[in-house]
Amino acid sequence: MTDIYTTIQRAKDLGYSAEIFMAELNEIQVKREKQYQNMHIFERGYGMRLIKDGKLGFAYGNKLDNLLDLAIDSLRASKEDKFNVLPSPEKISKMNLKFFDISEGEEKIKELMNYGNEIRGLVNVVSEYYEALNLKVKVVSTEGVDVEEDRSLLSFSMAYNIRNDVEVSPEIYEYKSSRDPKQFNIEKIKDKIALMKKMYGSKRERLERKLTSVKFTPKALAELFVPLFSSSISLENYSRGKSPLKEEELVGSNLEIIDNPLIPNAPYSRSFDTEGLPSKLNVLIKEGKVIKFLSNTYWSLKAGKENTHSSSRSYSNLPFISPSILEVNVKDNSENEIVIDQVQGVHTSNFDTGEFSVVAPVVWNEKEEKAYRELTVSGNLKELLRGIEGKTGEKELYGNLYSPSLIIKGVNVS
Amino acid sequence: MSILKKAEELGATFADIRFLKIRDLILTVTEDRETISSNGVDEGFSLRVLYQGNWGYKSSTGEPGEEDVKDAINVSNGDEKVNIIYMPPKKDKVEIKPKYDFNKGIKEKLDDLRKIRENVISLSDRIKSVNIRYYETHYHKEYLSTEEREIQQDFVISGFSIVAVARENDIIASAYVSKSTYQGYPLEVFDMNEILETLKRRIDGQMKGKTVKAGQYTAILAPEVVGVFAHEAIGHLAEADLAINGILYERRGEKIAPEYVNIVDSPNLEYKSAIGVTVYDDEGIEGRDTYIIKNGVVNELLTDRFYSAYLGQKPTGNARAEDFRYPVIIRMRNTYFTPGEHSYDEIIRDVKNGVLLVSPRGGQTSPDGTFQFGIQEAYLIENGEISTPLRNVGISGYTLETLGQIKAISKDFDISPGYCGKDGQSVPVGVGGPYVKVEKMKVGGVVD
Repeated sequence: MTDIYTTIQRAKDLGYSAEIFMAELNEIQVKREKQYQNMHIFERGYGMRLIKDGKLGFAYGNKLDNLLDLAIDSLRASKEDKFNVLPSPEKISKMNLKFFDISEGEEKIKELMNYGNEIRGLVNVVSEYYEALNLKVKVVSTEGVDVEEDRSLLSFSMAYNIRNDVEVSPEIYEYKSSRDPKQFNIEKIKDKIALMKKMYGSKRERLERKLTSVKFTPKALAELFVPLFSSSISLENYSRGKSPLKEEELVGSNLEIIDNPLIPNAPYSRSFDTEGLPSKLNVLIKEGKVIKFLSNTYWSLKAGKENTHSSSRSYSNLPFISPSILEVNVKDNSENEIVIDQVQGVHTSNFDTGEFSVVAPVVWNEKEEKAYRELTVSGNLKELLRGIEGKTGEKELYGNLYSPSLIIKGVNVS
Repeated sequence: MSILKKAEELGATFADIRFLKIRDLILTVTEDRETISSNGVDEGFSLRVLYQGNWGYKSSTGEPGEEDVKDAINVSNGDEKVNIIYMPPKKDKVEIKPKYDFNKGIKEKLDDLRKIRENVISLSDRIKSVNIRYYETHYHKEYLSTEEREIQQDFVISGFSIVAVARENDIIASAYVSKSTYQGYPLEVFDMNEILETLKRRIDGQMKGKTVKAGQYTAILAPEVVGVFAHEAIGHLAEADLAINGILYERRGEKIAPEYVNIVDSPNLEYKSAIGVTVYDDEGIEGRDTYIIKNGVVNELLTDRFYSAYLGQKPTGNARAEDFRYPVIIRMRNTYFTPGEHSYDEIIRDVKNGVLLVSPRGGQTSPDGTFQFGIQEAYLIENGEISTPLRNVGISGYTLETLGQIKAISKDFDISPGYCGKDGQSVPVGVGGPYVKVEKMKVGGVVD
């Protein structure tokens, strides 16, 4: 049977530089709506990059058989590009990112489902989703890269609404995920639901006055800010004029944004990127100034910039640039009573210009303990960054964002 | 099949298995780079058992065996309340043959894309970056169930998108055109000159476009936007799994729109962009035209086997899964408003102060009936005339209020392609309709 090392050796013997990225997933999922959907998924796949004379071939499959031949065919059709290079190995400091086996994960899901049942007694739960997975990632190349890592992830999400005497609230989503079940602070969701019951206890009002600033929770920031910033901070997009951000540009004061893949329990943590290069902590914005864009091997060579080791991929496609965990640090404290907690429609934004016009369906007034009907929020990424006045509360992990709530002025809220 | 028999022997009251083999090719050409971004075969199965009233799935990239049946049974936990409709035995093979062959090699396809790149760059010297993405996905699907249904389907969905970014001083404009089809090699199915003209118009419109003042406007929704409205604002609310917690379930039989409003979800249309083609769904059910709204009245919901039984409704064939890794859930296929009686000119000419919304950037809806769309091509309408192009326009509202605000529907009709996301799964869909006039619509923009 063909294995990764013999395939790499065969490619080398034929005079190619070659790399195989393998991902193997073992996952249990439970989705509960009117019916339960329970799944056990096992998946293994390989993606192969092949380079010769600057030409790049690529092929993927669930088996290694024929992968090299398919990659050679595609290499023949490709154009020479001197920046098509596989990286040399670098020393990796391995983190422990596997905190449970899949059989234990199944038990963790059962525990979480008991918790889900408790919440069903408090609000009208529309759906629950539980996931426990083990992922093995391996990168091997003719250049000497040979790295492997096991990772675990436990996640829980829930959609619910609240009925008062007059109306039903919008659907509210809660989500928690962690590589380490011990860091899974589920009680925070209970506190949040108690808060929502208070805010949506009576009919939502229309917000008539003009807002000068609002508070965005980490959830709202993960939904609005993260996708826009992730696109804009890519060295590929910057180099190609597809980012509203510029190097050395001042986009705020007292703002620091770091790409930090080294938070072990965070869902996007990793010891190495998908080219097998060691994870780095990258400061992207310091004291409000854009100082670095995220890159991979190809774009760092092409643009003549540092390789930030920010390659991401699945086995079925070529590496692309993506942040790991965006950590936001703001010095000044601030407060605002109007809170935006959920944003929908960010995928309709113009990612090249950073312009967005989205709906915020979950908005409330903390002081007056009442909820508002949905608001429209529009503006652009730079206005969003420049408008950060201060922070409130502690930093929280939400998806791949690690941030406190932020008070932001200067976006159009109506 | 022996694996389904094994499931029955172990106590499953129903079992089915989906085999999927996808041959995938993605080519990307930018202003100075050409890559074969994806090229390979994705192959696997999804076995599903109904055991003691609960679903259990085992999905894998390996070969199915008895251990997989045991794994599926092991995870089948729940409240033991799953009840489904059963279908009679059936064997069928469906092959949708492309009208335009994919007989070119990768190199020739890349050559075609290079020509398009040259044409895009020559549209304007302000265009600084271009992204052309070509894809073709060859599907081979097999479905088998313990009811002795054996369905095989072969078809290809392919397409391309062109994104151009233009810069002049500090003004950035970014526009795209995206086309997909089930009729064969997309660079021959579609008229490239028409596509380039559209791209140029969108870039120019954004370069000189003004930001609209936020507020309520009379809006004319063009077929692309109407399609997204039919899909996002109504279709999702009619998916039975969402509908039972939404606003349409309790309004079945109720009039919610003028009598000339009909909204249909169809498994197969003769339009080249109707890529929601689902002759049989992923539960082996024959698709049928489903009138979500008929003569202004909420008529039917979109169902899978479970919700057909739950609602007592004839199956519609809307159960779909992105691939073998995912469970089947209720999805739309080709969703559209049927045409009306007015001409386009009649619809525009009595608008004193409004907006023409030509092309969306996608949209989203919530079960409570709120929706939001981004718009990439839009114009002001002043005294019945199309005037200034607009940029960064978003629209939002409540579905029921908006349906009640429909005042006219045109005869013109078209279908556009899209990919719909739900529960982390993406499937090809068609969306469409005529021009629709909405008396009042919330348009997001600058706040005074």
